[in-house]
Amino acid sequence: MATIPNPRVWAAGEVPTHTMFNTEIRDAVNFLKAPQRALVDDTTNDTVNEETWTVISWGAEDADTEAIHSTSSNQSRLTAVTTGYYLAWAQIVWEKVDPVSGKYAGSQAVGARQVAIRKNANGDFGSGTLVALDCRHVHDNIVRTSECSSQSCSGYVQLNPGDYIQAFVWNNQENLFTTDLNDVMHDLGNAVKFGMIWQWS
Amino acid sequence: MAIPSLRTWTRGELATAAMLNANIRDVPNWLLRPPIFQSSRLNNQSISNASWSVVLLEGSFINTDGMTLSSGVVTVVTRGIYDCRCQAFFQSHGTGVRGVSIDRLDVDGNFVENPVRSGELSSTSPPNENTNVLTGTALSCGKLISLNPGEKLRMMVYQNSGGALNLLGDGTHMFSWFAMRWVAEN
Repeated sequence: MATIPNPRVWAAGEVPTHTMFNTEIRDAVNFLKAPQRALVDDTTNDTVNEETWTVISWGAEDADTEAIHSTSSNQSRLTAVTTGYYLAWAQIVWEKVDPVSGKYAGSQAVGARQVAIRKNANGDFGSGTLVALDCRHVHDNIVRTSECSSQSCSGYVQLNPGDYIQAFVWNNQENLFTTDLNDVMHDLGNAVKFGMIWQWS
Repeated sequence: MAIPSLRTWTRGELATAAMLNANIRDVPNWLLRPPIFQSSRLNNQSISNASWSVVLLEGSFINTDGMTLSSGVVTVVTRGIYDCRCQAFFQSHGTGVRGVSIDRLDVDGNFVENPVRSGELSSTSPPNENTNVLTGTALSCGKLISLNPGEKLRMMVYQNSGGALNLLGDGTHMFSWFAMRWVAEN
């Protein structure tokens, strides 16, 4: 756990020592110039069943300053080690739904797409507390042009050591030919990201 | 809050306790908890059709700098560049567009600019089965905005479903919110 600086009140007649300077200057600046943070990637496509909030698992780390994330256990979680308010954000990319060609040829992009961040939800969207949410409808004329649709959400969240956040996604894409089509989150050039960074005490 | 203004130390100068407090202690104290404001619309707010409306934020959940909130307008105390963000959560409806934005106002409350805006069409079926979240459409936007003391921000929303439409709230959770955090001097 990183030590949040607790600046001393200097008293008249006090002789500063090198230990004091290291704590009061060096450590404080080091803490603030490199705040605790993690940024993780989704390394594989994830199947997201229709109308089912699905927690995303993150298989790779771009940054992780103090074991906020693990690639071997609870991969969906970013767990605070240091107390504080964090800025949390999630960005996802949805698979292309193409009426002309591709996996879903003949289909229309319809329905809604959602991404959310929840605190201490244990993988269950019905648990914990909401941090941020983005909920949008998808439009065939937009998706057809841009091929994939992306969305993101962000928000501030207070976390104590052991508190964690998870990112969830949801869609209700309906297939014109089958009844069991799932929308799949697409790993598009590592554009699927989840992160948090310490902001204030 | 006074932004730390650090002295240039000179040779032979005797460092007093006052100097150390002002130039060492106060700096991390400032950076650990800079000016921050966060508020939310906890309860429903009816939004008129086809006009931008101010979100009537209800209270300040975090306010480290004595910023004032009046009729949805937040007044800045300390100059600086702020990271400003907001999220709006609309009642589900299948017609029209939805928008969210942040307005910057001058010290007299006059509109200056609309630094950031986000929107979407809602002409297809609305989402449903939003377990543990009210059914609706959520939009967000954010930007770094340079502000001086007395200048103001307000969160705005738009919808043209054909009639009044609610920003949704359940009295407890922050579905629609506004936040700003000092990040640098301007």
